[in-house]
Amino acid sequence: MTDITPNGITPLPPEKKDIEFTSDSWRPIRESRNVKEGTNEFNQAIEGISLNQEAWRRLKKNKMAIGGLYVIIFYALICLSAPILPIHSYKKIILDHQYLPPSLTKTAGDLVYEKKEFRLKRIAQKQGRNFLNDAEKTQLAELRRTIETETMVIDGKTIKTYERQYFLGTDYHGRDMLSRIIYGGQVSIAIGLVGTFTSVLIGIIIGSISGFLGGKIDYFVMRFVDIMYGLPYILIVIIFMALFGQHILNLFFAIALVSWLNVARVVRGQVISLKNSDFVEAARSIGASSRRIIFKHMVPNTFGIIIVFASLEIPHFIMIEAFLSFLGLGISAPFASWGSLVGDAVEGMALYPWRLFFPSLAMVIFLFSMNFLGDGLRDALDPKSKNRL
Amino acid sequence: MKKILIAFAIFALALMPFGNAFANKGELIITNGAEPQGLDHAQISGVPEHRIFFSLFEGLISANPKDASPLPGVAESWTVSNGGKTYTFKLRKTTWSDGVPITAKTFVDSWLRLLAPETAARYAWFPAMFIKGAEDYNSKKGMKDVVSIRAIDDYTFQMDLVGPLPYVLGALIHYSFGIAPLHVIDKHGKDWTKPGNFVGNGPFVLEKWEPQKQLSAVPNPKYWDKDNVHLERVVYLPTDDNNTAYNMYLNKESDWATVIPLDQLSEAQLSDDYQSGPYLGTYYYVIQNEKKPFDDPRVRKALSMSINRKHIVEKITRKGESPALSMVPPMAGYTPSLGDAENVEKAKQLLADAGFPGGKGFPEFKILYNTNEAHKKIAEYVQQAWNENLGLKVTLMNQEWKTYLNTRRKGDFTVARAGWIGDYQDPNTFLDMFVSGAGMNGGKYSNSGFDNLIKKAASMEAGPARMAALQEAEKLFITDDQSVIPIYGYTSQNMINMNKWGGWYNNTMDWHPTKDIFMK
Repeated sequence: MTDITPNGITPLPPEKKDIEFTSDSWRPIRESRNVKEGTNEFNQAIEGISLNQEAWRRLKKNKMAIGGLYVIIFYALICLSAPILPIHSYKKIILDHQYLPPSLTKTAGDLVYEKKEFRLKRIAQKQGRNFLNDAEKTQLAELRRTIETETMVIDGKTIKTYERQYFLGTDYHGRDMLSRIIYGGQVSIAIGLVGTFTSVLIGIIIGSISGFLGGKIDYFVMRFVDIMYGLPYILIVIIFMALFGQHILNLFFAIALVSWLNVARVVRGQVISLKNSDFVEAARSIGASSRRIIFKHMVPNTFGIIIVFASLEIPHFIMIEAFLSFLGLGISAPFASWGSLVGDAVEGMALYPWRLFFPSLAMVIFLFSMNFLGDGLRDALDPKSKNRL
Repeated sequence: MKKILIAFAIFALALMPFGNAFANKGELIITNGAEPQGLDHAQISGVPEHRIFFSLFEGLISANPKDASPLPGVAESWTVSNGGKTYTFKLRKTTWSDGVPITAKTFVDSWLRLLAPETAARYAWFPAMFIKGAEDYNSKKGMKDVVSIRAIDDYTFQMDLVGPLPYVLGALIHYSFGIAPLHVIDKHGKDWTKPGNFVGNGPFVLEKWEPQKQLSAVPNPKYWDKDNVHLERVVYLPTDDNNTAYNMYLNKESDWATVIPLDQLSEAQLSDDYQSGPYLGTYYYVIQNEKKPFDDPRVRKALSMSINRKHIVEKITRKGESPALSMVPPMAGYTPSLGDAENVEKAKQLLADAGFPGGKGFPEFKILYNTNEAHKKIAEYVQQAWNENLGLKVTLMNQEWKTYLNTRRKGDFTVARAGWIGDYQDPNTFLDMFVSGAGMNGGKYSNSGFDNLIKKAASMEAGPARMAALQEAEKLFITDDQSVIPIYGYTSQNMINMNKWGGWYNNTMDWHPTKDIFMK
């Protein structure tokens, strides 16, 4: 917002007044020009637009990013409200209901019956009959009776076991896939958030101090980062998990331990480039402490980059966790994460494809949304971006 | 172009009968699991290697394909003396595939080579359990001469055992009691197992070995019983991936699939080719007996009684396993002593008696298992069962195989999954590892009554009295102390078309010597 109009003509000078120096004369120019607050020289209303508002405006124009944002909000709501949602327990094992396919309409009883019937027909077919013999019919009738009568007690309520419905099918222990995916999402997203938060926090502190102080400290810190960077991080995480045991907190910690390096480097670079700018000079000249300069003046100036970085880092963490769970090093039963669900489903994926499909789908949609949002944020926050809208 | 095609078709047609005729002579193709570690009996330790060993070598004793019982091999006959402690074998006059005679000295030298500490044979501990002095030599406590085996003359071989171990004949089938052609090893060193250098004494002799591709063997013309060898060729295909192996069987690219992937099991079970039978092994959970509160038998019993084993075998493992309440699987002449069957109410009562009504105050503990889908499923089920039935908080921990074995041996666990496959057909192989202080006794079970009974049985000759002693030992171990929680007895799984192949039988060792297999 400069004083230059779009066509480059300097605006007319304001009307002259008698020169009379009063203390008012030293008021800011705008006031002395008698221009009302919120208008320009032509008395047109101006909207005060901060950088953030402008970024937000740019973000809003990016449909993919906004779509991603909505999806992420939706996921967050579902995962947070999991305990009050009307879904089955994610850890209740009902072996009779194992490997049921997804169905929106049929109850577990129908599906179990169909499965049994299909199996018996398959046996009959193999024996060269196209009808069921009496023994098999009795088996089916018995099953029908069990389905109609068997009850179980869950949370103090007696319900008919076979009237349960599984919209996304069940796994090898007859646990509801839908609720496992939702609770798995809780874990996966939490790992994404906690991991990003801790890594960004460590990265900011180390990066900014190292960049600001410079000299030997900077040199040693950065060489340390280089060494850490050279180590295969998955290996470090695996060793860490093996040493300290498989616990979800250890998992958080192990992932954060190896992932602050990037943030530290980025923040250090920013801090170095800002170190000699005028506002830092000004702050220093009025005697601000190093701590104040770093955290009040410099770090806020790196936030744009960090936000972008964080939004792209969350999916990365979810992927790491998925990878570890896939290897059997991540979350342990009865809890689940998207990664562990996918890992469990690999065995038997030809026979029970829904066990692989739905957790993968949930994960892919979330990661896509997160990436779109991250890309959108980068474009919106970086004024120099080529993809600027 | 057309002409070329027609010519090609005629050519192909002309070749076809020959191709079939070749296969018809009986080429047995086996999908054999992992690539063999080697052929030298001092270097191998796996089941795929054992299958190859059966084709290429023969020890003193060979296996009856019907029930895996001992049959004369290189030994023609034998006598037992000194209260069952000394075995004297009369060897038949036979030679290696290069014509060099096999004598009693061959056995002495081969066994000493396997036991020598510098050989570092993985299975040296096995002969060391039987032969007097073998363990001392293997653990560097003595020299060669402490091993009590000797060649009385060229065709008489004698060995002394550590006690009257009536199951030793069955154990002699094992490859660790096999022989190696030392005259060839001296000449070629490590390369002796390469085709061309290879010399064996089994029904077949190595024809070709392309690592990661195939290993084939053709009948050995110098084999003493060559008239009873029927196959034209045996081909072992290394197949690390179970699905690939099974699909090869379905596509008729192999004749005998030794594994069936779990997903394909229910389809496979409908096939006529599906062969399954009890296998001499027990899947169990071992409890750390020294740790509080698991040192209380009531706690261990409560844990055992709150698992529904029938559910596990029917719904989770689904290979036709039998739920087990005893450590020793049923075998001829032995009735296992059972632990308590599932009874959730009584389990709760026992836990309350032990001071933990409703699981209150019971420390959280871990189930350790080696990383594997099937073990994980069972562990998750048991975890949930203990949580729901007894109110216990249980977490799962998996470790990679070698780490897991180490943890288990050290006893650094609370509850761990374990499996034991019998090395020979006798209850002793399932019980003697739980003697106080034994290397495999990671659960630190210690009961002097049990120790004495096992020791007593080891000094008894075969017969009902010995079985009774072992049965009593198992009663202390399982019925009274419930030191471990047996879950199920293993089954063997194979796919082979019995209308095409004969001489193949299900047996509890899952041993199927190729010598006896023939094409119908």
